[in-house]
Amino acid sequence: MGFLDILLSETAFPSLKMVELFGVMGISDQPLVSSWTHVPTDQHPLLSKLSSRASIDRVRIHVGENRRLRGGYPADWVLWEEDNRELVGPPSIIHHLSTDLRLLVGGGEGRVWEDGGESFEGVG
Amino acid sequence: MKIGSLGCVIYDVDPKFARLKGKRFPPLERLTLEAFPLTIKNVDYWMKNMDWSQMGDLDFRAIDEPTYFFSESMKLAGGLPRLKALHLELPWFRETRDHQEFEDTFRRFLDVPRDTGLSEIALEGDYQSYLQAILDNHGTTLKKLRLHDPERPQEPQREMLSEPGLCDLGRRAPNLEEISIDINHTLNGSLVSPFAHPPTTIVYSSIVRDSQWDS
Repeated sequence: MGFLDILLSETAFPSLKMVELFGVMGISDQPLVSSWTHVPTDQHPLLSKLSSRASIDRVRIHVGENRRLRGGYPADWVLWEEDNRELVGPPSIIHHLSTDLRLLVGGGEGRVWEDGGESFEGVG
Repeated sequence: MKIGSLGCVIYDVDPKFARLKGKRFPPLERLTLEAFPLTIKNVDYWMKNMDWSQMGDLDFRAIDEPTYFFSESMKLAGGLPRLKALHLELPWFRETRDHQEFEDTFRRFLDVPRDTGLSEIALEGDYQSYLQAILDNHGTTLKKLRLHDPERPQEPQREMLSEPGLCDLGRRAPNLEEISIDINHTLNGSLVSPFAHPPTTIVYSSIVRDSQWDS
């Protein structure tokens, strides 16, 4: 059972209403920010996973925490509030969240971002 | 000093509140301190001149040396008996001895028997040393838990809750309604090839990335 499966399990966390995740992407993996978009829950694997738990009405994902972001562009995005279960964020972030889902659910595949991030170029 | 909807929020003012001229504050219920010098002298003055019996919400951010505050607060009657919410940016110490002293003190602070356990705890920094004390003393009363160790460039991957650790958290804090935690993107703690899924496009370099954030 993967990390998210445990977190979203009604057996493990029976009262859960809000989930906030830090570091879904690595520190070196800051995306380009071009425009904002909305993606319905059923078109996004991470959202689909999170929305499988009906009692959760708020989700916040902190995509990256690069220091350069602090005080400038926000490093986190509110994914949904109550019934508005749509991802809100730049399209490149949506792409990254899709691929990183494999890490979160422990599916045996995935990518890792080098700590420190100075030598790794992000992929979009 | 300003008392508002956020509680007691203090900016750049005289830490002794000399304008009070000997009067005591009304019982404090919420206190937020940010980058405030919690020196021994200041803490002694505060402990003496403030009524801490109703303190319900402590929020300390960028406080360099909170050790003495937590140590002294345990000497108050009941040791902040009404405390319900604690938000703390864990301090960084240059000296191992100072770090150890804080760790011991803060664990004892979490262990203080209160009327009820805390319902909200938020720790930012290396929280691993305090997790057991949190669950031992506040697990059943916790409704909101935030455990977040920020990523730092040029430093090793932060420690995070393992999957068994997450199971244990759920078992010992069954009333959690809100949880904020770090995700381990190294997949079970082991390194995975960055190109397990070959990238289709390289979309930015560090130079472009910098210019993007600066714009």
